[in-house]
Amino acid sequence: MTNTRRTLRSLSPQIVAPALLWASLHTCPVSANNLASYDFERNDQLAETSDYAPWVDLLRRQSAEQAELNACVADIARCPVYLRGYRSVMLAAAQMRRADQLQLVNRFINRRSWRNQNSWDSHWQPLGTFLRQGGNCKDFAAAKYFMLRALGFSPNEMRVVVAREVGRMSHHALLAVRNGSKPQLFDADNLVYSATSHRDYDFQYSVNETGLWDHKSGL
Amino acid sequence: MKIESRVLSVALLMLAAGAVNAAEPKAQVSDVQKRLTMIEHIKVTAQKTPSAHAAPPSTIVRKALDAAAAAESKK
Repeated sequence: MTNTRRTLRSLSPQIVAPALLWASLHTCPVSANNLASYDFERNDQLAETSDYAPWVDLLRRQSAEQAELNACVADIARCPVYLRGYRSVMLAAAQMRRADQLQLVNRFINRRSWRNQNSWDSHWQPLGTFLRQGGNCKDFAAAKYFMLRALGFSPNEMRVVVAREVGRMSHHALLAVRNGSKPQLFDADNLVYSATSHRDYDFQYSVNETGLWDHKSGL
Repeated sequence: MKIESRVLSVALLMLAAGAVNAAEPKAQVSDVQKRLTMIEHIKVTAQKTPSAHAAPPSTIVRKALDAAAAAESKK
């Protein structure tokens, strides 16, 4: 301890100040509340989705692709090869109970291929594009959202959640689904977290087709 | 002389008004818009592979996944 203090005293302010600044920028303080659980009821809506350009663009492109997806499910002759698995899943899921639908969609999407885009690319891929060419974690979460929407899930019971992985620099996206009073988080590694079982995710924001919620408001 | 001083006063008043106008802050970007821009710039790129800790899917789900894989492999 004494040695540590001596070492710190010997460091010049020119070294210590930038180091402290760097540390404050790269290690976000993690609130215990954020790690406790995801909460649909928290009153932290920041904006309507119509104010958030990346999702305005995503919803426009999703809407443009939806006709092709619907045609594929209705008629296999109008189904390109890359959508045949999607068609099979949608037809099977229509006969399933809700818990199995969630498991099936989560597993099916998690089998798609990863594609790293430009690290600063803020574009979200619509479902058809994602099924054709893959995507990164935010596209996986959005694809689950749109498949479940097509199966009749309501926007009010689903959000794509972006979280910082505690202890890492990276951010990750998951799908949160209401399950009574206990939300479930569907991850890209097939794990499903309940309110108390998920790993250390520090929630940043959530978005769906109706709104955007800022979980770091006030920081 | 009297007219010149009035003209001078008006000119000074106009200059002062211009200075005040220039000193006023431009329209501020709202706090919401600032936060939305910050959110837009968060990189969301983490990659995950299947976890060995994941519970196996139910029989009905596994069969549906197998059927989907078979459908995708058909030319």
